[in-house]
Amino acid sequence: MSGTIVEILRVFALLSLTAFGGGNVLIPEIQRQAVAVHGWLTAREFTEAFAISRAAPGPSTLFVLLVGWRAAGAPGAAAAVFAMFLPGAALMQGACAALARWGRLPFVGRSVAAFRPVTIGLVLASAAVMARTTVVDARTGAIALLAAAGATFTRAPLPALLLAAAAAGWLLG
Amino acid sequence: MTVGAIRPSLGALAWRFLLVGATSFGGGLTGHLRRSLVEDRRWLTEDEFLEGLSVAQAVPGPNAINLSIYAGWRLRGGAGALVAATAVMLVPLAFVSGLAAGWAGGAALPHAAGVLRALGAFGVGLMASSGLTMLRAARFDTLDLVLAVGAFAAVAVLAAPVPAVLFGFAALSALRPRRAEAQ
Repeated sequence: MSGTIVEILRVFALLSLTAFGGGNVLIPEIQRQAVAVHGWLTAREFTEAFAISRAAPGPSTLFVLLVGWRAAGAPGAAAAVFAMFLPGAALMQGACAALARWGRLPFVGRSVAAFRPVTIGLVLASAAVMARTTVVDARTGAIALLAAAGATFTRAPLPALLLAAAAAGWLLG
Repeated sequence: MTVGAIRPSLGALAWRFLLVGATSFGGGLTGHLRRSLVEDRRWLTEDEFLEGLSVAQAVPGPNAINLSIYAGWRLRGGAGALVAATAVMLVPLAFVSGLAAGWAGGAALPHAAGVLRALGAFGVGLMASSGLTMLRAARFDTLDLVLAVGAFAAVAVLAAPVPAVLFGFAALSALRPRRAEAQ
């Protein structure tokens, strides 16, 4: 089992360091490593893990916890989460420290500004890609539209909007 | 990076990120963070948020966690970054661990599937709202809009790899003339 833990740490730490643009870009590669290369779980279990993780709050990348769990129980889950989240977080801490020190330099400011239109394009692309699996009928379409309108045009607190969506889901089934 | 005028205590920071983490169903955590930090609390300006999200995308790792680290840094330095990232992960970690433990069996509640579908759709709506609000606030000129739409279409329509789109379009964006330079 300890061999599996080392493998989990190695695979997810490497993936974490290549996740430019966010964690979602990694899903196909995580599937390849976990299912085809290491056989930690079947393709069906992988899909199931992903679906289950959508029921949870937080970053969708957290579904690696379920992959690690299936591979090696609770220690595997902990290893997957640590390896997936810590290397990127350490780099981001470094980037923030660098930004605090050199953020006023014109070159740095221009470089960050260059990402702005792309950043926004990618946020909208994420919404479109997520919509393909979550907006499946008229009801989910209506809830997505109402959520977008509520968040854009009203000052209603987010938890209230969330509860309203949950209630609608409960009533409509 | 200067520290903004509003400086919440570490405790207030921890509570806010814990709350956002706990309620961020549907996979649109960056949308939840924008709404909470920029609109509800006004701890970050639109500009600061967009800068943070840009850096978060350019550094490897989940965007929302990187963004939490950025926000924590801006508000309370290194300690704030650590607190924000930990707090935002706490409830989701417990939640997914619980799901992992219950994965083997357990009958689903009758209405649970409907609620989950609704929350997924909610996350999409919130993410779209965030992107459109940021687009409006950014006051882009035509060239920037072309870059934004191009990046969107490359990923959403052509299914191009995100890192290639991110750095390719950012390089194009860096090469184009800017108003500040032209003046």
